[in-house]
Amino acid sequence: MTAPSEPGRWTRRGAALATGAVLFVAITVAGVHDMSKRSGAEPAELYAARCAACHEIEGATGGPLDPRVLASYGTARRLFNYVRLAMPYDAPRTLPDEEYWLTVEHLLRSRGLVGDDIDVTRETADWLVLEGDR
Amino acid sequence: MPTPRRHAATPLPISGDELLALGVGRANTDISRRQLMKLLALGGLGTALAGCEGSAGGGDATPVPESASGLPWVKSPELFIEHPTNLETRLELLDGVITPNDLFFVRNHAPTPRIGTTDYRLVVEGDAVEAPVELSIADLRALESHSLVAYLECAGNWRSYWQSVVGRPASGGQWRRGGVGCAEWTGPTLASVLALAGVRDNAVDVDLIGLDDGAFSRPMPIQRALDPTTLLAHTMNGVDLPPDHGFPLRAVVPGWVGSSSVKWLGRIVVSSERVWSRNNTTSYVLAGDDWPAAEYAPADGAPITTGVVKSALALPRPAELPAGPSQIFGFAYSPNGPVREVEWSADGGATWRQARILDPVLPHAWQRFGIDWNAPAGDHTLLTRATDAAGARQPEEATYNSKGYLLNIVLPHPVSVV
Repeated sequence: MTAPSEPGRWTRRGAALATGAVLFVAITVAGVHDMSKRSGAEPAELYAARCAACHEIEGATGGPLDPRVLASYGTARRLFNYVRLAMPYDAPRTLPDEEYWLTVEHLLRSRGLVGDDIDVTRETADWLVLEGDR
Repeated sequence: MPTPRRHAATPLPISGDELLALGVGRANTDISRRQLMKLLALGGLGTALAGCEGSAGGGDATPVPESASGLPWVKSPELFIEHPTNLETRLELLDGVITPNDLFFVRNHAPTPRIGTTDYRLVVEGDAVEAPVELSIADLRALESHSLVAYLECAGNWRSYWQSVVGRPASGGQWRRGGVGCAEWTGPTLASVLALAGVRDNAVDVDLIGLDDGAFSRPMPIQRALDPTTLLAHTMNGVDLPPDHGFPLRAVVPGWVGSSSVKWLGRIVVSSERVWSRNNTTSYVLAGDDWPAAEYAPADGAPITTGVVKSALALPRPAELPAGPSQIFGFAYSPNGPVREVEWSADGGATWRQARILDPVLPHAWQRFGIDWNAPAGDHTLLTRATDAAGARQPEEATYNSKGYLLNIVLPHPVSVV
């Protein structure tokens, strides 16, 4: 049998389930979402300003972001690592880390990969497993 | 009679001394002065330097595997067209069949990991092997090694031309023509490594998994894994694989698109079932109206395996040439073996002439060709069209796929002759 689903690997069963858009966070972490930690831009606003032109239009450079692709990074940390490494496309690695975290938070929340009661921060990211039966 | 001359000569954007002052050349110890001067002569440096980006730096306490600079690559980017995580080769810097390691394109999905050989182990496991094994670099180097010269091309190479030439943009890294290179790869066959674990008769797929952040994974059918041309290379052009190209071990799957040749190979899983990863379901698939998703579930479209026949001139695009006889070189390649014929046209395809096929002709390498053009002053468009040993020829029109893979139309190459 194929190994059970792990970050970066899809089983046949898991992939079939993915077509039903069954994606969930397998492990939640201690701590309740604390809006007081945040200052400055809101995640959705930041995403709209920095990312939407490429990622909300079919055929644009980035294209719409499929939640399965986001989940394939395995953890919020790995997704953050990639976003920080590669984005914005025309000026990668130029934003403050805080803005990258807010962007990742928006991506995960807007695609239903984390709930509203879960923080997405550098402290929690390693344990935020984007499990999804992918 | 005028002497034929190579393409060249646009005004120098920067002096050689200025170049050295910027550190170009020092970091690239393998880059020859000739190559540097060629870049200068071709006028590409301004773009190259403009494309350089500094690192925003970390700030995170948790270490992640990446190059010490915080950049996606280790090699110096100055001689490349720079993309967020990729370095694209400037074809005009290449002579001959072999792409030097320092000029070979880099396609990374995560930063180049720095892997020490002492602790490195390749794990071969899965439900379709007799007994899992772990192999050190010494174990791998003790196996009989084979060398083959093979080109590798990113499936998304030429993607930017969906917008600028075809007129229908496609999502993904906006490659021009330099997501391709050709090297001599040396190492044991994948088949010989799999044999150490013992492949069971029920094996279906072999998943190759990298040690980069995210563990890049690309499964292939057992038949392709056992093909004697599928290597696990530890050596590239006669030296240890450079970090950006997969040190200490990578797969080389000639004819298949570059993502199949998994770098920093750390784990091989032989499975009795089909294996699906992101890279054969949502990425590296042909998706769109011509590939109904329902027919390919759980993939979004047809998973891409082999590349397509293509040709490209070793000139900047657009190029500038002096009027008069010019000798222009180019590269043509196909997954179906040697390119049989390259034709070229300077009149929009009304008439085609034969390009010279240049030695050597190798089964998995790209094919150099040469054309002699007595270039009249003015603005022109050159066309090249390759036909491979199987009779496949570059098409005039493209069939659109939403992720913009495998574009291989006859590509117009604007040339200004002065």
